[in-house]
Amino acid sequence: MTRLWPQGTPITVACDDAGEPQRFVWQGERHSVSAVVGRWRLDMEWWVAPVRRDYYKLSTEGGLLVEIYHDLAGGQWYLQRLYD
Amino acid sequence: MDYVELHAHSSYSLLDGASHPEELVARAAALGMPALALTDHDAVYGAPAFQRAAREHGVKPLFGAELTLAGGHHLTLLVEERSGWHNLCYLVSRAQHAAAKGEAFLSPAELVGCTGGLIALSGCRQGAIATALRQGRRRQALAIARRALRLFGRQNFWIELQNHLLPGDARLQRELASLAAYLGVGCVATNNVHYAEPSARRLQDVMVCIRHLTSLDACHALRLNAEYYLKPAGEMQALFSEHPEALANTLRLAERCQFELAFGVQELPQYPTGGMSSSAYLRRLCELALEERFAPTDEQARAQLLHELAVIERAGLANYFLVVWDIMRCAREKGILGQGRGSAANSLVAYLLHITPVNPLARGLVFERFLSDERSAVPDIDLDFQANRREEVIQYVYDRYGRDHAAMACTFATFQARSAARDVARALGLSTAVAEAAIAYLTTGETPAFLSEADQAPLALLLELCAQLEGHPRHLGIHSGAMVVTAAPITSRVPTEPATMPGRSVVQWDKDGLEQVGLVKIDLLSLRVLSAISDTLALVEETTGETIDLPGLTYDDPAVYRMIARGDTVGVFQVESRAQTQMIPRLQPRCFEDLVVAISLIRPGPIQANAVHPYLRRRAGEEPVAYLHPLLQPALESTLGVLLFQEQVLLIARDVAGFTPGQGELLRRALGARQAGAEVERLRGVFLSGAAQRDVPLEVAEQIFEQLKAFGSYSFPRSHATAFAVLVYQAAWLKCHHFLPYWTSLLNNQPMGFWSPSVLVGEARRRGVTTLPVDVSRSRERCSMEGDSIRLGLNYVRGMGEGHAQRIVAGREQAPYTSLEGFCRRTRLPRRLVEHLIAAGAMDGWGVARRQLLWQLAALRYEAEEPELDLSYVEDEVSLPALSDTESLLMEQGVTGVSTGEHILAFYRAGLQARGVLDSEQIRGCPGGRRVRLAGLMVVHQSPPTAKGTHFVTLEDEKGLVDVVVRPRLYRQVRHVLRQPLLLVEGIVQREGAVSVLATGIRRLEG
Repeated sequence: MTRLWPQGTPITVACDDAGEPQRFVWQGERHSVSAVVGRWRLDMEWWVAPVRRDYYKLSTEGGLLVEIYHDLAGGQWYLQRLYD
Repeated sequence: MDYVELHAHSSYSLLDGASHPEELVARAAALGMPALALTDHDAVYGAPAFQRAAREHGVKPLFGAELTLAGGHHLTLLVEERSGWHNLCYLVSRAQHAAAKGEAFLSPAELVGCTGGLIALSGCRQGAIATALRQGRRRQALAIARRALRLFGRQNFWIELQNHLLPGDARLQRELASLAAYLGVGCVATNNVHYAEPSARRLQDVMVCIRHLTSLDACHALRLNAEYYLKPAGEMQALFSEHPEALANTLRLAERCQFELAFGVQELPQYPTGGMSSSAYLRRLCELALEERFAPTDEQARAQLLHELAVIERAGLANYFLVVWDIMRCAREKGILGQGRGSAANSLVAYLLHITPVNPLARGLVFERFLSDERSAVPDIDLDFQANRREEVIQYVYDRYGRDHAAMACTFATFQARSAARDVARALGLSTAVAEAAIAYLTTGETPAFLSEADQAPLALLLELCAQLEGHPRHLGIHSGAMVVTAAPITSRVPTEPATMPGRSVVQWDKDGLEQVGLVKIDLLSLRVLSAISDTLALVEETTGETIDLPGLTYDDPAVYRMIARGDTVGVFQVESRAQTQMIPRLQPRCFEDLVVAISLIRPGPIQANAVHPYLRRRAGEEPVAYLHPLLQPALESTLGVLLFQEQVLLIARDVAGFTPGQGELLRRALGARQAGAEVERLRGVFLSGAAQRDVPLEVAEQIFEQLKAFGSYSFPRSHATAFAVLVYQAAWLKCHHFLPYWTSLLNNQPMGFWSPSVLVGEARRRGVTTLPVDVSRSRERCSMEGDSIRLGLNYVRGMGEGHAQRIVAGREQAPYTSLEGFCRRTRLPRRLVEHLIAAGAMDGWGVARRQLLWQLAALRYEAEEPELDLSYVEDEVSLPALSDTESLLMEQGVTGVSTGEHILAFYRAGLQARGVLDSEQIRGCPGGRRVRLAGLMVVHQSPPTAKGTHFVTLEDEKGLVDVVVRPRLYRQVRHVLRQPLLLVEGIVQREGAVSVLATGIRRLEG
């Protein structure tokens, strides 16, 4: 079962020097990234409400598989999807 | 670590790439990229511009294309060496000819045997291999790769890796790399570039929407991000961190590719000379012509001929001249009028070969302006032919050299901001109101008031994108008339595409591109005045049996010059414009050379519309003829000491500074080039030192050089003006001595010239020649002569096609038309066309009023050739009021564009006379300074950019034409009035050779 937050739910993320996510905090809980499984960048809808996001599909040391994104315009990070 | 982009699209990937080739190169240079490949879709349109920009920026150009294979897959091809270029051109041609215009696809089987010299990259996501992998069909991917390996060989087939940070890209990259490793094939990284800078992504999206005729919101083909720009090595490194060798391989491939686009005159097919060398054959032709056309004692001619032949031989151009001579000879044999224009008229050889119509000797013409040892590039020989028969000449070239060895140069229709506005607005999903506002702004510079607050920002975006879109190629336009002929099959030199006309193909380069790469083209242009002249000769022969000896004219008939000098030049090629008629009476041309000057004096340039030209001042004796130095006299004497002609620059350089004429030509070109700078400085030094050797004082030499700089680039080629002056004289001579047939021919070859058919008809009327209206019982398909009058042809009726006209004439030959009913039933013309005929007065001959006929037509049931809505009712006969004269006139004018009866002003004349308003003849008799009022029909309205806001209006009445000058302040007050056709003008008469009226007030003519 997958949980999806269509508007994304805010998280805080710590990255390394190369900008790679290392840890994130969601609902008060800390998670450590074990691997970046996939990444992609969306840059769309510039003519209405621009969507500019760097997406990461991550596995955590706690055994979770998640999809988070970094909103490049506002700077905020969000959790989009939690895979089961 | 360096990187070379091997897969890039310019805007010559039509409506897909958003940057000009020059922009891609500039960015590559800024990034320090040593080389760059241009791989447009199924085309090499941009290759010449790309090469030139690359050379300017010190970037090595790599050539290629992205081919679309049947099935929609993409394959990237790069040219490694010359044989690869031949194969690429061939493959692109096959792809273009296999599909409808604007599309291309290549059947993979065509690749067999055509891969030599080419390096293939497996393509983008849409490549066959990538597509198979994305769909999980590994075995198929392998099979395709193996086939490509067999076709291209291990050294020449590479797997293309891309990473645009799309979902799935990382995985695809891994799988492609693994496949490559498995096959022992190398990988290269590319970025499938579609624009130079990331900011151009917006324009690219808009282009895609325009291509798909949809809006941004609705388009499914847009890219998910903006990663398709030309990236620096550092960014590519991060994207291919797992495959650094893929980046290094781009440099390896870039180094292997060694090819440049450079063709020359040796590509031309050899004119068959039966064993003689081309030079010897050319010499023989010229000598025979010399004997025929010059006196045996003419040493000057003989010496000039030997000199020209020697230069031609050294330049390797003898064969080229034979090819051109052959085309002109064929035209002559078929009785097609034609002549060369431009700098070719400087050449005696061209004259002897009947390529140009004037003997250059003793006309101040200079061969080296055309060709010299110092500048021995293939000269431009442009040939004008009568417009209505140019196609025969084109077909002759195809037949003679073969369909596979000849093709036309293409042209590119580019986006203009105004016409693009609607397309961009649709892409942005904006309302028509915003689109119209943009167009209004682009036309007038003002935002219309009707635009709401909410629409301001979208308008700004629309305008920004229109500005960015402007100048990019939109699609191939109508071909130009330039033909390329090659000894080798043409598709081995440049790809061809089918043209819109069947049986014709175009090459993928336009005239500029061809010139840049040195592929010889011959311009076969159309000139309508030649059609008019030809038709006149035919009419004269037909009606009187007389054959006019056009080549036998001596160009010295005083009656002809008198006619021109008094400004009676309507209908005379080149000298009939308003600007010309204002200038010519000051010039008072008396001889052929004066016509040459007349043509050269009026052109756009720094010469202000109202500024008095120094030449005219000297001619009028208002200023003495003086020379800065006596050495200038031989060159400038014929033009009263004023520098008018490009050839004079060469003569001055020779006489004052000892330049060879060839060096003089290089100087002239340097002075005219936009970024000459250093070269001009260098030549200045040479000029001054040469002048010093001739004892010319330094300040004088400097002054002369400055004059060359100032006037040199605005001067006109005397040779071109001379060739055209021949036509001016011929047209004027025909107007003077064979008015009726000449005028009939002019009317049959519209649109042409400066004046509308309506004005031509008025001119004829003023000379006592009536133009008879269209008549179904008398008119032929085209205008004809009837007694001493001109009979308007059926071609003047709006909506009349050739077939319709032929039916009318054919039917009439069987039996006359005596009634509307009979006419309709027999010709079965469409109803609206019959209406037009009635309105034109074509059925007045039956004595039935036009309104009555229209009524009858409505009630008439007949079978028109096209199915029509049957909206007729049966009605009783009704008595209708007759049309007034003005109504009749306007009705005729509405469907034919001319009024054959009175001039419309005639109906106002009585009232105008009573109010003291003058007619044009009276105006012509007024002294300068007199305040007058005049009325007329506006037939011309000009505002040349050089006039700085002054507008020129020409009014016509029953007695002729009057030029009215409207200064900027008055124009702002009356600009709306000037939309009315009938005007009443108050102003002051000006006489400066010609007469004009300086307007002080303009109103609509009423009553």
